[in-house]
Amino acid sequence: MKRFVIAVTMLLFAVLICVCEFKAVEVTDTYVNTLEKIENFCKSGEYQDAYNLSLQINENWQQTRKILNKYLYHDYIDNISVNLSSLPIHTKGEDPESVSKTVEEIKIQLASLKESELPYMHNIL
Amino acid sequence: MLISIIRTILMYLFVILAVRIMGKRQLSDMQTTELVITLIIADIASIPIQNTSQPLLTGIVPILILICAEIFISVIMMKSSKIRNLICGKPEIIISDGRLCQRTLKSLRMTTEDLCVQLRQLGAYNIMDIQFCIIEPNGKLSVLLKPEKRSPNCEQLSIAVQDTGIEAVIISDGEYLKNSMRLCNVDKQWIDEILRGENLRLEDVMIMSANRLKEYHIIRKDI
Repeated sequence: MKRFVIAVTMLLFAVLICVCEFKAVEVTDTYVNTLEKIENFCKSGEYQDAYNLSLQINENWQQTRKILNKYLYHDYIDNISVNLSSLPIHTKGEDPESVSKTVEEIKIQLASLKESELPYMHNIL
Repeated sequence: MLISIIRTILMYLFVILAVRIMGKRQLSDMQTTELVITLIIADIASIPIQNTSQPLLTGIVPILILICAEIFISVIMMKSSKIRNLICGKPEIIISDGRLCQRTLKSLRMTTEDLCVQLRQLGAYNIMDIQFCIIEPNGKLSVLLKPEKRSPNCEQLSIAVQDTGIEAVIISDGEYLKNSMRLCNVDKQWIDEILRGENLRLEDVMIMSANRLKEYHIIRKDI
């Protein structure tokens, strides 16, 4: 009976980790919104605002990556970090095409990060 | 590299904990489920140790789930003999009343040589001496010799034997073993008296064993 209780506790702990992981991955939605804002600022020529926001998003990402690294492959997170770090350079250089390209890349990476953790059949198999 | 060292230590401790939680059955004769779990845990634990870009949790969570599965399955098997037979199989009789069941042997894909090797390991050198031979779900053989080949016991020979209980080691390498002391019903005071009588200090004793009749043996430490 004691072992059974331990097993149930462990199962609950495993479920709790899964829930924490889902919650942690949900934060990617905020990043997608911010990236869209940066893209819009660039389109409307507000490069300083885009630059400030891209610095802000990098700063926030440094905190988020620490949490995500506990649950997800570090390589995925590192790839996003590399792309995010190039955003301030593109916004400062007032290069809307590069900004759009990088933003799209990051959005795809974030979407893939989120999608890869959902219990869909294609992810399971 | 430091990360690898820390991860290895953490994983090592976690796997020890996992095996302890699964219980003593895991450490002795393995059943089908236990063998499977042990193999998978060994494999899963090694991956996050080698690959530091993989979160440790991706190794820990599957092991947690495997422990839970093993405990749940063992509880279910305890309650239902049908499921127990389905997962672990059931004992098969290979020699019944001195007759070799060739069909069973064939279905087990066991050659007569395999059988003879295992029988020899059990001390049964002549297959004709065996009345019953059963292969257990864990793959080990149980053998019952024919009545005329069995060793007689004290009861059959009408010999009275004194019950000495178990002979347990009560001092190991200069340390008292409290569990063993309880087992053979002796206390520290009795041991100290014996040691004084033998002109020995506790640190001088390598092994001291005793039984319930307070018979003891001492092996001194080499100087």
